Parts: sequence; structure tokens; C-alpha cells
Amino acid sequence: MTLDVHYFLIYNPFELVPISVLLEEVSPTNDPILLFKNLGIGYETAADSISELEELSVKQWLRKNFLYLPQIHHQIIITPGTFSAGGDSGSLIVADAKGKNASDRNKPVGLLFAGSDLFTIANPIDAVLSRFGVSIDGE
Amino acid sequence: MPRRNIKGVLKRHTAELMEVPGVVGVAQGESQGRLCVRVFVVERNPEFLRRIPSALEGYPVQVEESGEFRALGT
Repeated sequence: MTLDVHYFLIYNPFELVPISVLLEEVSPTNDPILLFKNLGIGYETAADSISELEELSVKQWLRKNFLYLPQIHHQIIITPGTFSAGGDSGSLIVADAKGKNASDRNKPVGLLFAGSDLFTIANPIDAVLSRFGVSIDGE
Repeated sequence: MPRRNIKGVLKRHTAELMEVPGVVGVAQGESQGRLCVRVFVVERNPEFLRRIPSALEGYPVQVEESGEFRALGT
């Protein structure tokens, strides 16, 4: 399955204003067994479930600067909300398929950028890598 | 039975749904194997729910409590 248009959010570190960047032709990730958020400092949090949303629209992203983002295509949504907290944007979310092939362990699936008390939202990792023309090395 | 593409349905109705107090997100979803419109609300307040239609152009509307979405940069 391939989607036509996707958006990836990046943040201006000085103004905290989300900027939409067009992404094209990315594929959704496979179903992961168990998800972890990896902050790069050895801290991990497990997720209960993951699903993919197409055509997600959200508003009220910033408390002070009300902003309505009309469309964010094909995002990953994760429960519970305690999976993420303020400051987690940019965290890599990986799937751990224990008992399966070694290549499936710690498999990157998304880049965390938003959430609520009950959900976490991430960009599919393939979209991010494709947009910047980069890849992830190693196991 | 819906006849229109759900993406078009979302395009036509997202703005009006977003205007409903308490609605913080709208998405394409799936319910019991059928495509649906998924509406996220801050809380399951009867006042909010009363203003959200049960179906849009043949697609069922599924309301889900999410809390307020926010960027997690800080």
C-alpha cells in the first residue's frame, strides 16, 4: 500500500512554530509486536497498541499559539498517552519482535512528535528517512 | 451504503467538525471492518457529543476521547 501525499512536522527551535513539509510516496510500517520509545539515554517506555491513521487533522497543538493544521496524512497513533511526555518530540520509536528474526529487533517504526493524555502520534519512519534521503545503519 | 470516497467526505466535513467545541481531531478510521470517520474529543461531554453527527454521507462517525493533542517539544 502506498499513499500519495504525507506531511512531516519539523519545529523551529526558536519560535516553536510547526512547519509542514511535503512528503511523497511512503509506505506504512509493518505491524510491530511491541513498541519502545528510545530517547537515546537508555530510557524506554512500552506501548500497548499501535495503529495507523490516514487523513488525520488536529488542532490546538500549542497552548499559547493556537494553530490549526488542516491535514497530516498517514500518521501512527499509539496508546497509552503515558507512552510520551513533554520533551519527547524527536524520540525514535522502535519495535521489538522478540523471538523472531534478529533483524526485527529494535526495528525503527516512527518518530514521535505529538500526543495527548491518551494517545501518542508519530511520523512513520519510512516517511522521515525518505524525506531526508537518509538511512539508519546497524542492527 | 456510502457512495462517495471517504477522503472527499473528510475534506468536506473536517472544518465544520473542528468548529464543534471539544473536537480536537478528525481522521479516517475503521470500525468493524468498515471505513468510518473518527472524531477525537477532549472529553466525552454530552454537550459535545450532541453536536457531532452519527453519520456523514453514509459513513458512520466514531467518537473517541483523546484529551488535547499537543506538540511534545517542551
